[in-house]
Amino acid sequence: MTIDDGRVPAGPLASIAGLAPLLVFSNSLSLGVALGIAFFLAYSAAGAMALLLPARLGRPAVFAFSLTGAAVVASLTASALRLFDPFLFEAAYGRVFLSVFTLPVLRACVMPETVSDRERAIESLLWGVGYAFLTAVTGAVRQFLATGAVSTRFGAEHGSLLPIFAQPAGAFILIALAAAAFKVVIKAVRGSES
Amino acid sequence: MSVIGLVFYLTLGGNVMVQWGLIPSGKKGGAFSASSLVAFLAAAALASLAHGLAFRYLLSPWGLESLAPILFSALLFGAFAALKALRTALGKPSRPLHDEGLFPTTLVLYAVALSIGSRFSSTWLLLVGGAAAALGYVAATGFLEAIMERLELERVPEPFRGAPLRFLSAALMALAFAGVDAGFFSRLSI
Repeated sequence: MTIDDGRVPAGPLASIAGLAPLLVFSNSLSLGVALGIAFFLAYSAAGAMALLLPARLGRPAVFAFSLTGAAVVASLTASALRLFDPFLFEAAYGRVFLSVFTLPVLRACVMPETVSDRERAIESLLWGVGYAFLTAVTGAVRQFLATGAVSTRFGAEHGSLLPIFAQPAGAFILIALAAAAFKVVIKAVRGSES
Repeated sequence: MSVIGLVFYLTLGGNVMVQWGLIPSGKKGGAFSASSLVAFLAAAALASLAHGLAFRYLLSPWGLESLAPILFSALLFGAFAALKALRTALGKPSRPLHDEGLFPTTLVLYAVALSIGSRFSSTWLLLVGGAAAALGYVAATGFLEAIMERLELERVPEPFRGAPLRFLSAALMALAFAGVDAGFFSRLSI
């Protein structure tokens, strides 16, 4: 997946673009936390299975088992969410399910090819934590921009500041601004190194 | 709502590209040949039908809605195995299941299936709705790529070139679609 013009490393930006289905729906702190946890659990399960399953199974079989494992974890997460907050489950179950098929999780399902790829498991796990944190933070920021306050209770949002940020368009604008800021920072860092 | 109204709704107000954040990447994002377009629409229609019927008659009666992603994975693997067997019988090569080029399509198909499967109950509407949602996605990606091509001629600040500009363009499309939805479609019962 190539999402930029090649002047900035595509990895982190591409993964954030792959997370867009979750970021677009994450318009409150509670939704963001729920989606972030669901994503992280599915991502970790997929990555762990792709890493630990024997290579003799072959890449297609490892991919299929890893994806099934991620789907099982997403199902369990959805069940736990249903017990915790049925209203939140009703609002978020589609996106919790979709988290299994986001690009970072599907990539994590692919068996690592080289030894160095396998040795980067901890790094991948940290990226997963970062993506989950990003999803939760996006929810909190959008909720604050849309309502002027941040609430930990789902459905308790009141007030109106910039309602556009509760809509998908608001998420796209935030992602665009974050991506532009990321490019500026990368460019500044590279400039200071040379 | 008539079938024509359904197609218009899923192309504009209910478009899966903006509602589900399925922004295509790269210059090939909106490129579809005629055969791949037909195959994509058919796959979306069948995915919506299979997921919708299974959700309604298999999972919901037993309170097992949480198993939906496992069900879709099984459907995905089954469809892929059938397609691979068909292509092998015809002597054509097939892409492996873990080919990264298939990931965005898988994501879109599941989003369409989730979006349509939870909204309609009749077989006909599931089929038409799935195909219409996929058509709406293809149309929206085509619009987005046309906007991106046009913007290449403009003097855009350097930090906004590439991905940021793509998302800003998608944001404007989402605003326009939301306006159509609020002004027209939200007054209809779907």
